[in-house]
Amino acid sequence: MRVTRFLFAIGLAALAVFGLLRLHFDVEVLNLLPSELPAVQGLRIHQEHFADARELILTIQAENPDHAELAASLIAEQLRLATNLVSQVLWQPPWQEHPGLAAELIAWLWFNQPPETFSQLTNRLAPDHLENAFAAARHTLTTSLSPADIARLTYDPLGLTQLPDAVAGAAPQFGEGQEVFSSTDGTFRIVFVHAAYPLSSYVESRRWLAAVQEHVNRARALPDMPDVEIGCTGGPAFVAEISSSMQGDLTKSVGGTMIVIVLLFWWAHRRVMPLLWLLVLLAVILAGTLAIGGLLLGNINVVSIGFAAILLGLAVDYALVLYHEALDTPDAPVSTVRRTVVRSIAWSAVTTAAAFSMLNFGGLPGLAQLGSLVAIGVVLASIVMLSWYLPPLAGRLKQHSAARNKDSDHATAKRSIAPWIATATVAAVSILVLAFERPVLDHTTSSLRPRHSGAYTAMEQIQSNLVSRAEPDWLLVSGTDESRLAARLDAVKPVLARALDRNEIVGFSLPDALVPRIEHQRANQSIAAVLADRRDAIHRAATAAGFTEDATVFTRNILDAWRRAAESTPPFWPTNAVSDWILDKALVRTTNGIFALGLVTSLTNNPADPNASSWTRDLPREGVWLAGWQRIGSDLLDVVKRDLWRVVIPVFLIVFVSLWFAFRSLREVLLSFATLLFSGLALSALMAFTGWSWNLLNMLAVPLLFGVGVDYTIHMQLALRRHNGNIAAARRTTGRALFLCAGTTIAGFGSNALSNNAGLASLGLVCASGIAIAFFSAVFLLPAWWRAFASRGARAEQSSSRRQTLSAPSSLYRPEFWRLGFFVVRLIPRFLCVPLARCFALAYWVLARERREVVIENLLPPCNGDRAAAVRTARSLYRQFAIKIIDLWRYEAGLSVLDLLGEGEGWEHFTRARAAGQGILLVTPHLGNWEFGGPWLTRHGVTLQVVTLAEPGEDFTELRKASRARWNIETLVVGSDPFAFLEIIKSLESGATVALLMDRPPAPTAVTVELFGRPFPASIAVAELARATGCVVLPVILPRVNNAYAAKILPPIAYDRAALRDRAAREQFTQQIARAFEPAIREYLDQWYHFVPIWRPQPNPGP
Amino acid sequence: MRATKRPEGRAPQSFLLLGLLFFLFASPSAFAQTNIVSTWLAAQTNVQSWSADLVQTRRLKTLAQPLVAQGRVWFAAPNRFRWEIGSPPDTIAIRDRNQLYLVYPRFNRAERYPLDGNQTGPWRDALALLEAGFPRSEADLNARFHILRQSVTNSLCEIVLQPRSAAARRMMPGITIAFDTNDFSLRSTELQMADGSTMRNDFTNAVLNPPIPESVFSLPTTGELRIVEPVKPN
Repeated sequence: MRVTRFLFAIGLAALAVFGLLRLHFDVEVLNLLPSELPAVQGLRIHQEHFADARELILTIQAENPDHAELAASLIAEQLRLATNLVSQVLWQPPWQEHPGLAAELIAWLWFNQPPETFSQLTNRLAPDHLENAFAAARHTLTTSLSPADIARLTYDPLGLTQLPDAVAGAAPQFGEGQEVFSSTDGTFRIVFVHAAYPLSSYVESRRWLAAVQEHVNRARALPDMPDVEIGCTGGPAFVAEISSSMQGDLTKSVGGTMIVIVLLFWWAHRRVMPLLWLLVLLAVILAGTLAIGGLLLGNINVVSIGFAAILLGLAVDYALVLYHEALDTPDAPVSTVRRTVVRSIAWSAVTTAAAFSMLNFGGLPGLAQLGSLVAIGVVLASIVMLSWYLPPLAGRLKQHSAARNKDSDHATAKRSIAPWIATATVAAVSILVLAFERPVLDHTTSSLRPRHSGAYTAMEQIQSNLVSRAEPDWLLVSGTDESRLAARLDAVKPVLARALDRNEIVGFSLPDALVPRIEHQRANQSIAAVLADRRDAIHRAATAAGFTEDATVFTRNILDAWRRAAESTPPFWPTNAVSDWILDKALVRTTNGIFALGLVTSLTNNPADPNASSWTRDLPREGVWLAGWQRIGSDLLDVVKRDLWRVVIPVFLIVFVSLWFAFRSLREVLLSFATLLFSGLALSALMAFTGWSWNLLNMLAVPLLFGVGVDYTIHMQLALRRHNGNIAAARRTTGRALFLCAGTTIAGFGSNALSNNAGLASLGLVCASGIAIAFFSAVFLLPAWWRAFASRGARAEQSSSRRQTLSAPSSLYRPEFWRLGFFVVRLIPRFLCVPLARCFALAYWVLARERREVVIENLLPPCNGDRAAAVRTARSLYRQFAIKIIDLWRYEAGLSVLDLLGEGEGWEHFTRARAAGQGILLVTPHLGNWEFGGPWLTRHGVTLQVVTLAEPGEDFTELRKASRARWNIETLVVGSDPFAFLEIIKSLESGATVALLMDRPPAPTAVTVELFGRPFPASIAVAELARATGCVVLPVILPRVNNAYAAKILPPIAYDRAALRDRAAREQFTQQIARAFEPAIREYLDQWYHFVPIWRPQPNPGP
Repeated sequence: MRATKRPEGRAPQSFLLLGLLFFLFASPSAFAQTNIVSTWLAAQTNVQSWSADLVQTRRLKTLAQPLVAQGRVWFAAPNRFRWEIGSPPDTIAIRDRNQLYLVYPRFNRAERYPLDGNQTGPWRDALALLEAGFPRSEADLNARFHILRQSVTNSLCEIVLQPRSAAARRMMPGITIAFDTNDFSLRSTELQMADGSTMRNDFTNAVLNPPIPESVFSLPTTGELRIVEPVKPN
């Protein structure tokens, strides 16, 4: 056993280590968003294909353009030395540093033109035209005052860089490009730094970034370096920054919560060992949750990182509840303390876990993960705390308790009007504040971004310095190949053009000219070959016109590219570094197809403006995504608002069910809801007053507050019940505990307000505030409301409802359920029904705690007061009952049960009685499957009459009568009227066999006998019938043994009929019968089915 | 990042500056340093207008022989000018306050470049160098240029200037300005380009403060001139 436990522990530890190792930080903000949203899909495509994870962007802000340019060039030179670190550093357009490389792209753009356009070059470059072309260029170079003309013709005398207008409008412009690298005033510049190797993890990104920053610092130390501000952004910067801030958030929030826990615990108890042990267990819970999270989820994102503090704040509550209970009952063993609070902890854990689990339906995967982790952690915490917290402290509890009781005040039930004044004041102020201003709804995505981020600041600087108009949206278009992509772009372009004409957008840019047109390229291959063959002629003509070799280098490069194009199979793509750099900004080829990136500048960045998106309805649906961070805000908000009800309604139902189970009083349930609504009102007013807004993430605080805040109302109202409405006493005990619980929970949520993620911080702030308000309302206001509205009703309802509920059969014992049982057993074979029924029995065992307690209490006397044995037997009883009920349904549904009937014992007693010619009264307790006595006797050729009470509901009685009638068994229904027995007497006198249950009799026929040493109500009807008829009284049981039910007929109970005229003798006879059953009941105790209380109260021992 | 597309412009940036700096030939240069420079600067304050014939010689790296063109230039303080290259002119450049026109009479075409005073890149540098020909003060000249060296030979003073702007210096390492030490009249300017090309203006028949009609700094009224605005001089 020990070895097994040891191996289990080792396995568990290994699993935990594996889970922790598997866990990693997910720094991708997009993973917080619902992937089914088209705008998110677009952002994801952009992120995957167009945002280079290896590209760092350095920003340089200087006082003047010269300083900015010099700093950029020096930093670039320094970084280029680190060839092991960076593969490319660009501080100006690459074609400026390598103009010759631009020829390939120019050639490709020509080659991509319609054949009628490209073929015009054959005329322009015809040998007999070349002389004039060079002469014209020379003349222009002599006389032109245009910088553009001189610049171009110096190195491109044939003017091949003058592309057709259609391409010139969309293709990269070689005369410009600085706007990508420099602001219009030149004081702001950027430098692109490409990592030399893939940065596959955040650790690698951080290392790489640190190394790059070291080189930047070296550049800053150069003597020529002007004084500039340097920032960094781009993929590696974001990854490094977000992962660092996640670690920081985790450390800060967990550390902050731990400190608050320590302070509050010390303030309340001033005990070292319980505190240290608590901290150890909290660490175990946190590690365990992370391990399970690692196993199940694999990663943890920027929002779900906040789970740790929330979990600690919640988990500590269970330990506090256990500790308080243990101090209140210092003499009780740990198991008893545990048993006392297990229900409240389990329900609290279930409701809290359920509330957090509901975040999975909130539409935001980021929060869903947080919800799952907290839910896992809360369940784990309840198990860990229940199992491990008290045992090591058991020896110290009595000492702690004595010290605490000495310090405690005597509670007084003093009435006060202060809560009413506070209620009125808070309500009036809240309404007043809300009348003037309400919390606004933030439509933007700012809640997804970090609050303090150098990378975002740098990105915003780029935005403001390099993007002159409103931030454009990304228009992403995909195609499985070049032709399909071109077709989609051709379909998109008219839509954008119309939107531009109608002034619905400010401008757009599509890379349609950069997509290879395969049909054009095929047709142009022969033309390209002809043009490439004119290389020598061009060279000769240039020389003749006085141009040097340098003048035609660019032209020759173009001709070479055309040569390659002519010899390749379309599609032909340019391949050199300049071409790649330009094309990568607009087109990405993947194994699944090609993606193109266009830009659309809207009239407004206000996502709430409906006109901003009206034109998008005309865009093709398939393979086209319009995405942008501004645009996505309203879409996400729509999703959250839509899905919020999926969270709120289940949480509301869970809360309602929990409240009902806790109180079973409508008034108290309504008071709990009133407290929550009051808290909501005050929270809204606080938000309006402080200027906090609702956003994507903190909107989901509503269901969380609902789920967490309701606990305080439950605890407080139950405390008021326990203390008979003594508010001071309730506050001193439960209020104090709640103060600790609320304090730690507020600390848990509140510490997330320090998070660098704006959404998580706002969620933490709103939740912490909401919980504080809910605590204040529940502890300081609710008691006064309770005493005014619910105290009498609650007490009355509680006691009468409890009594009624437990003394009546389960509400499941009803005809509808019975018929459903018939339907199921007819449909499903027995071997499947039995495990199914066992599952139901288990659920009933877990959920119907009071009923379970009744069963255990019933079994205690035969178990000689051994509760553990009673619990074990009760568990077995539930399992046996599951089988019994299935077999009973099969029997009553008319299915064959012959294979379930065993041989039995004591048949000789029955035959002997029959031989005497007297009526036979078979007496049985509720043991085994007594109904099977009918078919069992029928099989032995005996016709039976069964005496029963009326079932709950007229048709139910008839239903069961009909079932018995199938086996030729007559049912004699008796109520509480003793005269109903006349018919039975008649039957017995005529020699019939009648069966009667002797335990749980109706009150008029009940007498108290002693069973297992306890007063027990038994039916005196047996004795009455014996006196009246002189029948043979045969005790009989039908237990389930070896998978079959067999009658065990005990020897007849002898009696003196004449003596039975005396009631005392009849009671004595009843006692005799009861005692005859004791051994059988003890033997088959787990088949003695009583789900209502059966024992009478013990008589007072007297003075 | 924004995509790298703009609707206009065709030539590589480095080429653009080569052409742009051509304007510097038209510019009377900046003088400073020591007495002679100070004297020249003082003389500049007397220049209200100025005109001259010119011979423009462009020695481009991509041409085996220099390109020579005749022309004429007019200047009026503080910053108006008119350049005519060719006879009859093939190209005319006119600056009238905040506008620059490049006129091609043979094609009845004019290109308009608005100058708002916030130009950057080659246009900013080119215009700054144009104004350097008539510096308003020594401090103004020193703010824009380093004076690398100066020499006087046969009553001809040559000053070699280097732009302080790193961007301008990268494309145009130096400017040489020559003036007569007797009357401080501008004799020539020469720009050295980063690729080794040079552009030289030799001025003759210079006239100081001649009356210049307003029409000189206006667009020609003859013919149907089509005005386009190809690219803003950022």
